[in-house]
Amino acid sequence: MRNKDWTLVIFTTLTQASVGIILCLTLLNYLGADVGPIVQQGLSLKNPVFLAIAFAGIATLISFLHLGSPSNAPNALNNLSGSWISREILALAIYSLSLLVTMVLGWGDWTHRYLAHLLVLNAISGLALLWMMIRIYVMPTIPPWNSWYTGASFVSTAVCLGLLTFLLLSQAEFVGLDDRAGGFLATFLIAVLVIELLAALFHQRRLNQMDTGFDGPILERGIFYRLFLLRMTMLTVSVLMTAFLFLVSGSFPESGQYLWAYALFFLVLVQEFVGRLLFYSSYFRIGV
Amino acid sequence: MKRLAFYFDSASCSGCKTCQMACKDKNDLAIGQIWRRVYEVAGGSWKQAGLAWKHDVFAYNLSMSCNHCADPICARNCPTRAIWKREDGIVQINQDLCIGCKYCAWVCPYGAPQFNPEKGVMGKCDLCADYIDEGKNPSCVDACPMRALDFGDYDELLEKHGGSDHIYPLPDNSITEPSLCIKAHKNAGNLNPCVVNVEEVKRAQ
Ligand code: SF4
Ligand code: SF4
Ligand code: SF4
Repeated sequence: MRNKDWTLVIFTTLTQASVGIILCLTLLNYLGADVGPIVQQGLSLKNPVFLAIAFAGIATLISFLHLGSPSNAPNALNNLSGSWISREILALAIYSLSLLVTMVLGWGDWTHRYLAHLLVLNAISGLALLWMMIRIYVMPTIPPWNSWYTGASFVSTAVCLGLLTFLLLSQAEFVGLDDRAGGFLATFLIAVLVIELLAALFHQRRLNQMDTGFDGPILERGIFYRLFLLRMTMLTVSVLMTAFLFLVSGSFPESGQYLWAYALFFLVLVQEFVGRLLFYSSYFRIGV
Repeated sequence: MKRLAFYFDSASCSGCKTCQMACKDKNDLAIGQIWRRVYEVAGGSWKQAGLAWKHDVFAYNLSMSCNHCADPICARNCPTRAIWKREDGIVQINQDLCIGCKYCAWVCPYGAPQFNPEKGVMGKCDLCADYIDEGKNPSCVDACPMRALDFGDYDELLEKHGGSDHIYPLPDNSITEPSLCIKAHKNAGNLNPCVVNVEEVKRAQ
């Protein structure tokens, strides 16, 4: 990993977590859950819209640490016609603004009437942001990133952290989900975690076969391989824990297994950070 | 539109790195940055033929800076438009616009843009645009004792040197269409070449 890539690890993971929360909220609304009262909680950590804004805000602040000249940051919008970074920054601004509108309107009674429309707008701007983020990395001169895996990993990070946030909020009884909705989210989460596991294994196989020129084998870079094994272990444990906590142990969401749910959230979050660290560490480009 | 380009004669280059030093000196580059790097390529092996051993070992050098590409992937993707192309084809960086995101360094297949941590912005070879405006040659071209480097209009260089070769370890020309005319060393097409001074070019001093 190059110097300061840790800022990008945090920026991309938190932004994707934010988008994932909004996608899940929209999905729940679509499935008929009463999400109105949830988004009317204003500046509270029980409010998923506020959480999404907070994640996007922290991510934006951290992204400045990546820049060599943060004071020139407004110039980053200069090349909307050609640069995916410019487009990503514009998309992030629009997405954050759309979340703010939903939250501010939530303080009044307006949201009930317009909530479905607002959430669809939030979700669309979030998906656009996700798309721009993916395109930044899919470059013909960077073979390890120029693959379906970049998109798959960014989308699965978003969905996985979004689903988990809702499961956690419902465990803490901040969000009232019935057994059916909770069971659906948990099953969905297990499916996404399994897909992440398989995708990471396939991608690693592809990386192992790549000719990195004189950059040297990816697996021999520092503790890359050990981190990969650690991530695979964490993913497997996460799948088992999700199945046990939310499906096998029965009553959802009154089981009151807060601590285990927090532990699962922490495990998945760390796993996502490790996955993103591996993503940046696999960088090499063609040529000299 | 004019398209200024470098010419490099791999058959004549001795690998002395005077070009590298002349560039560093002219641009007052700090430790950690070399805008022109000299790659040492070697390969071949020994084979037994009856009672004798024969070899096909070879070595050549490649002096490389920014190639002021016709389709510069760096400029296309620079979010600030800090990277721009002059009328004569020179690709330059306007450091007043640069945010130091390092994306150009990620994507350029020639490793040309290099981050200047003191200024917080990118820098790279600008073909000594100031010298060219004064009617002088780029610093590296004049410094080369073997006359292995030259510069001029791309088409004229191609005509003068009878086309251009593609040698290891350069990437496929179609990616950025580099303005670079190369005369290959006679062994450049041999099998299993590798860069043997990786540490030196990666950890520029
Ligand atoms: S060599 Fe690299 S930095 Fe120079 S113009 Fe081409 S793509 Fe840009
Ligand atoms: S580092 Fe500067 S020159 Fe390079 S892509 Fe970013 S803004 Fe453009
Ligand atoms: S100065 Fe000339 S001979 Fe020496 S390394 Fe550079 S190109 Fe080769």
